[in-house]
Amino acid sequence: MIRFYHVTKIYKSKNYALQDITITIHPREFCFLTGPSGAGKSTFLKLALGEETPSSGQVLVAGRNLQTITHSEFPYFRRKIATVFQDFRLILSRTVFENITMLLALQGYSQSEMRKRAFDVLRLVGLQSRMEAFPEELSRGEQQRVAIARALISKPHLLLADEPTGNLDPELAHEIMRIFQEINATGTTVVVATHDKSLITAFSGRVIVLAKGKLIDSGE
Amino acid sequence: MMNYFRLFLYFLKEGAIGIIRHKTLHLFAIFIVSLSLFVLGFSRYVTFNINSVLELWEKSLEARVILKEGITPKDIEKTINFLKKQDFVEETKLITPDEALQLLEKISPSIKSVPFRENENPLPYSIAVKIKKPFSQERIKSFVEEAKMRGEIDEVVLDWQWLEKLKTYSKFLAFLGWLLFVALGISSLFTVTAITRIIALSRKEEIAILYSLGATSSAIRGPFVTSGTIVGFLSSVISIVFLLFVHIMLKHFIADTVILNILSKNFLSLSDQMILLLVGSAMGGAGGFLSLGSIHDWKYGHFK
Repeated sequence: MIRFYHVTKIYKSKNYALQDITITIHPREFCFLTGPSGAGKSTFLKLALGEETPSSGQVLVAGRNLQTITHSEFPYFRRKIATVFQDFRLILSRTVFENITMLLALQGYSQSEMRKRAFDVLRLVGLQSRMEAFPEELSRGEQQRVAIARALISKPHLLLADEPTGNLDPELAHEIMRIFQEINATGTTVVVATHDKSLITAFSGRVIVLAKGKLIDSGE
Repeated sequence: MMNYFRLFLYFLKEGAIGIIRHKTLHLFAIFIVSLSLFVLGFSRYVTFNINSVLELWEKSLEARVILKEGITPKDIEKTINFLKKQDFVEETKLITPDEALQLLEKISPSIKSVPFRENENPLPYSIAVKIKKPFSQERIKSFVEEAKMRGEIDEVVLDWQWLEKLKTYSKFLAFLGWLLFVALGISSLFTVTAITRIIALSRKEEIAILYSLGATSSAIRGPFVTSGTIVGFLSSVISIVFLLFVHIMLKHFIADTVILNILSKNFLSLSDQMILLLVGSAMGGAGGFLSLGSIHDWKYGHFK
């Protein structure tokens, strides 16, 4: 699902964010990407998302070499990859339903189809009764679950989560991880970047360790 | 097809919501765009009326042969016969001093207040000569020279000299109108662009989220282009309504001279109104489109 070939990323400050990383993440895998702050976890995810381009090396995601993707192809590629962030990135002026169906509305889906798909993904995260609520009316855990529902609505092949439990208490963090495992069980490849060791020990999955931009353990 | 229709409705809804959320800014944009469209519309209105009068005049192009004072009926007949023999003359009509006075009073009612002595009409006999089209100006000039040599003709007044002058004025006016419109149009375009950009910046999180979810640039631009188009369309409607108001005021309350009567004879043609609606909507839409610049600049973290 994700292949990095000798990927190096150097930022303008001439700091190595990643150094010569070669790794493969297979379809349907559940992976933790871990390491201390500044290890290069976020850069790894940004490269996989196509938000950053490598300084050298090749990144292949879902069968596409990201360096060959054009601007016009990029949105269609992004629909195959769902992302969940620590800060949820929800639009506060819109309801849960509007937040999770925004992309579908822009693709011209009918209201009934959007309702059906929204209900399905919200049921998966246990929020089917909060469809008309605004994000600020929800707890932080619920907001993260809305972000997950939004990520899942376009039926992605790959889910990338960047410190998704960073703002949550341990109980909620475990709940979110359980949801990720359920999603993985449906066939979606899941990559969770986290520095929370308790989560890694509590949930089974491949563990990829980065430190100072280098691959310490590929977990294979 | 249905998907595109639903997408259009979604853009329309989002565009309208955007306008309602930022009423003051949009009202300012509407004012600026209306102003430039009003200038364009008004110049079209004036030139349209001048041109329709010119067309009418062209259809009944006349030369007025003014006869000398104290002319006898025999000389009048002789002159009419002379005129009828000319190859460019289509029709002649004798105008008596009384008829001339009535015409004058019709054109300029204030003449009624001029105290003529009883039974004294200072106006001479004249002959209206309808000219065949197409006509040669050279041929008519040579006729004028010939006519002046005749003892019974005092002067020959030609319509087409006025017509040519008015045509030039009308063209100049239309050019001036377009020039003003282009200047105001550019400023309107920048206004709509700047206002939509301010609004887009206030929604930068939303745009970045849409971008990260995989929305295409046209889908992200859609609501902004739509709100710009709505602003342009509303501005066009407002400018047309205001032009209609000006037309009614001119026609019914202000136009007491021939010139103003000519200028306010008809309202803008339907095609001109359509042009205004299209130009306004296109201008707003273009402003909305330009406001976001490159969509790829709107990804997360680009604007801090």
